[in-house]
Amino acid sequence: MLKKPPLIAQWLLSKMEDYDYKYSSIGDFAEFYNKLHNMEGAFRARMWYWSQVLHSLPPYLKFLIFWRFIMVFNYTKTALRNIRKQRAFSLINISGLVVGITCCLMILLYVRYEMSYDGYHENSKNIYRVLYKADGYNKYTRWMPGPLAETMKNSLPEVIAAARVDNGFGNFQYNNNIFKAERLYYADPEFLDIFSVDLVRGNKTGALSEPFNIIISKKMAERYFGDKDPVGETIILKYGTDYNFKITGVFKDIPENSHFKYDWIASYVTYFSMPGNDYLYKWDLVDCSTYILLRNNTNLKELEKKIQGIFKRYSPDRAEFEFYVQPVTEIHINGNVNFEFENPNSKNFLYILSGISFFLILIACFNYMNLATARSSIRAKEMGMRKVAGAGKKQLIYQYMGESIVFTIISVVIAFILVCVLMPYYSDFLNKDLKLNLLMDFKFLVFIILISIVTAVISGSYPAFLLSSFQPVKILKGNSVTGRKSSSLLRNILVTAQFVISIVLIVCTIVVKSQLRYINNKDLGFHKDYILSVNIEDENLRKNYESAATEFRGYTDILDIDVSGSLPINFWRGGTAFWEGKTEDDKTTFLSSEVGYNFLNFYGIELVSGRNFSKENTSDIERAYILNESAVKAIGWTDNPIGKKFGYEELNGEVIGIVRDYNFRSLHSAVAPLILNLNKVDDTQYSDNPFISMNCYFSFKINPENVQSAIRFIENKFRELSPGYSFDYFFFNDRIESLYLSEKRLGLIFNFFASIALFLAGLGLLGLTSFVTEQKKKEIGIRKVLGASAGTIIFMFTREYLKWLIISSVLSFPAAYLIMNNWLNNFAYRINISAWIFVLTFFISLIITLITVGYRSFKSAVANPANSLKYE
Amino acid sequence: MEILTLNEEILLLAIWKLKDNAYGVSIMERVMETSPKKIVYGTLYNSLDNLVRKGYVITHRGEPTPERGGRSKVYYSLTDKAKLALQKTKEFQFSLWQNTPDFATGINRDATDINRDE
Repeated sequence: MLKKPPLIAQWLLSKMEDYDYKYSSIGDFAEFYNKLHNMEGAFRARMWYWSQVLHSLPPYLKFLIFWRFIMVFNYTKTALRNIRKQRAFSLINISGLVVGITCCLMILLYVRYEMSYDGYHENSKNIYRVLYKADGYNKYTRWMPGPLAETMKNSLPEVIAAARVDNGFGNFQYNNNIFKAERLYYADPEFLDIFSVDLVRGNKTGALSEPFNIIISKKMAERYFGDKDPVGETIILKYGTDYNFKITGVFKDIPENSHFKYDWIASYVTYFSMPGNDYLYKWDLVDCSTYILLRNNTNLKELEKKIQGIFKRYSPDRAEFEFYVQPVTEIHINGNVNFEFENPNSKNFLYILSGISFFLILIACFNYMNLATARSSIRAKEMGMRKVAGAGKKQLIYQYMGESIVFTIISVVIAFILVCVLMPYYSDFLNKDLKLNLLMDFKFLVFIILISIVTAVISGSYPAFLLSSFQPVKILKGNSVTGRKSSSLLRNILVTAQFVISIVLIVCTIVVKSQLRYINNKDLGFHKDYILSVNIEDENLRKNYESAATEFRGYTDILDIDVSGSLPINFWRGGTAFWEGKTEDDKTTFLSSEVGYNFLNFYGIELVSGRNFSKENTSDIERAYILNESAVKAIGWTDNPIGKKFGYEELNGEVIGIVRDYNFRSLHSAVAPLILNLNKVDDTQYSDNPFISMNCYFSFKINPENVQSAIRFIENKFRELSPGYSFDYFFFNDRIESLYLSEKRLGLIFNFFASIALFLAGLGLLGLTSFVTEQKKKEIGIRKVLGASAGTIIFMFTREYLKWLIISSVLSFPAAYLIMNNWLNNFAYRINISAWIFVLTFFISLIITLITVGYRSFKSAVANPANSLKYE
Repeated sequence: MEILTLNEEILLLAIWKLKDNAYGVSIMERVMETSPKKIVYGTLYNSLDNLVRKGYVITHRGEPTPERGGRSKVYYSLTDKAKLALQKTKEFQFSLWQNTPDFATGINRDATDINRDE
């Protein structure tokens, strides 16, 4: 009976394939094993087999490594020789790979940085923020009622800690030094348990438990206190009146990749010691973010239901909202929250970027494959010789792969150096703290190696398999191998693929740009140019804004002034509104803005009917409402709306006017029903409404010819009127443009990468045509001798590529259309993708093709045919 | 023509003696019978490979058999070059050993265990 040798040992043996091939070792072993098994039993036989295999390993490995090494050495030498011999090709190849890899690395460094936000907290996996989406909004809000944090902690067992966080405003004063309170937040003591805050001075417990406690970052401590220990010092916050804060701790500076960056944290209870903040005890007004620390493996869906339950009990009108607990690590990359602390990035944007970087590498790989197969005729003789000299197919594959690895390694090294050199500029451009030492970290290095391997394998595989399959006899007899249908077809497919990618990117660029232009030129329904706005923080100035405004009015370069609690692009969720004839189940929601008397005139917002707010009518401040057309439509009044009863909470006022719809939101969303009422800046400084004390904008319409002097005048005046306060102004249209920041960035990115992709595709085309013209040198010579003109010859070459260009256009246009149509659907006001975009794109790629192909073919078309034919 | 080394000598003689049946297993068995050294297949193959490279033996493939797990045998046979080398080595050895006495005379073989390794 036949006995089977141990399987694992046999498998090991089969890996020493050269042995098996040469000596049929598996057979020998199996035979001997059988003999031994019969004579001395299974155990001895097994032992023998194993010992044989294990003993065979070292000599085999020695043999293997020695010969492999010799061959690797040889391959590297051949590869380097080839690089040197074919300078132009190598340059094209390497520069293509370098550009592709550099872009990919830069993009991924950025993506990685963006993804790393808030990951540095010890508990980052269990930190969440509570959000909800009010009906009528397309984004979540982070503002929660004040008592929510406490209630959640007390009633939900999965919540370990909960803290309220809110932005702070004002100016600090220490000794005689007044500076703006930037990066100031108010937070509950549990903030320190939820987030990783390292106190280098002071004590964590109690640091934020008393009113007017404040902890500061090391950087601030050094800047304002020098060598002195700031703990125990008093610092004044000027916000309305002066408040004395006691410094209770100094914390280590927080990393820049935090979704909100704080240098000052004051205790949240401070709020309750400031006047006018009673609303913070109430459920129905909202003002703070609520962060929670959860137990491991909490079921979030259930938690959201429980939060809804809490709202059902304490604040029934919000019970039907959509609740969401958001992981802290997601905050920076999830752009669907309104009024974020800091402009968030969007996940989709990062995905698009990563996708583009992948495509860039792919294009570079295609270039390599293309040129390598194109050059196969030159290399074919070498391959034939190697085969004749005994190289197996596998060895040729190794060689070709080895070559692409050499290319990739050279390119990766250059790309790496390039990235290091460009890093500082890149960080500046992005305004991000991308540090160079990020390059030194282990994961990134692993990633680079991975990229190299993938690139090398993709670009090396096809040429390797193609070339190793040639029949040596045919090659050496002189038969041409490049004419093979399949390889030239593949080359053309690769060129087409490159063009498809480039064309899609070009279309995207043009569409994004035209949409941006459309946004810029669209009449928003209000003036936006040459308007300079200043957000006033000095409470004295706010109270006396009337007299302050007259101070400015006299200056010739200031054409008009408005003082409002909001700009035409600011709005809030209006409370529940009531009007004549409202039915019980009417759920219409309104947005609202608080404006000054001059608001409509100043911004040129057209009044359709009725009248503007007026100072003569003293009741206007409490009772007058102006609606926009959408609001009237939403309410459903068909008769004249002027004089109808209207109001918040109760029917205490009336509609005095209707304005034409203006785009107070970004063009992503359609105009919604809007209520305008007068701001109450002057009479009730701290009214029940928290928003009023938040903002007060002085806006100036300035003479376009004397912008600089007007700014100087305004600045001097403000310094005079509110000494000690910093003067921060902005142009209104910049503010509007900032609504489209991500679109602008997208346009920029597409533009950049479309150029790079086009450059790479052009490079590939250049290499390919130079090769083809080289190949057809004799054909060109004969044609010229027979009377062909240079034009015909150039046409002959370009015709071929035009065919592929047209095919790639046909393939890429529908794809680009679908992608961009999808993107445009984000806008309520959008352009239609018209035919000219595609025509333009086609012409751009046509010109590139004609230039590259024409240039190369022209050179060979005008060459003297005697040169190419003299060897015949 | 070079003089063969002891290893080569052992292997070549084994192959010669096995005539048409010289393949991995049989060579191994023969070598283990005649040689005082223990060898493993790994070394055997490397040595055989060297012989092939030096042109002393040529290989040809035989039929697959069931006890070999369906693998064919690789047979080895001597080339003329090997036969000449063997003859030359034999003559050299003879001349080397001529007129030598019995070195072991007077020495107690049992007391000095020369085959201790075995």
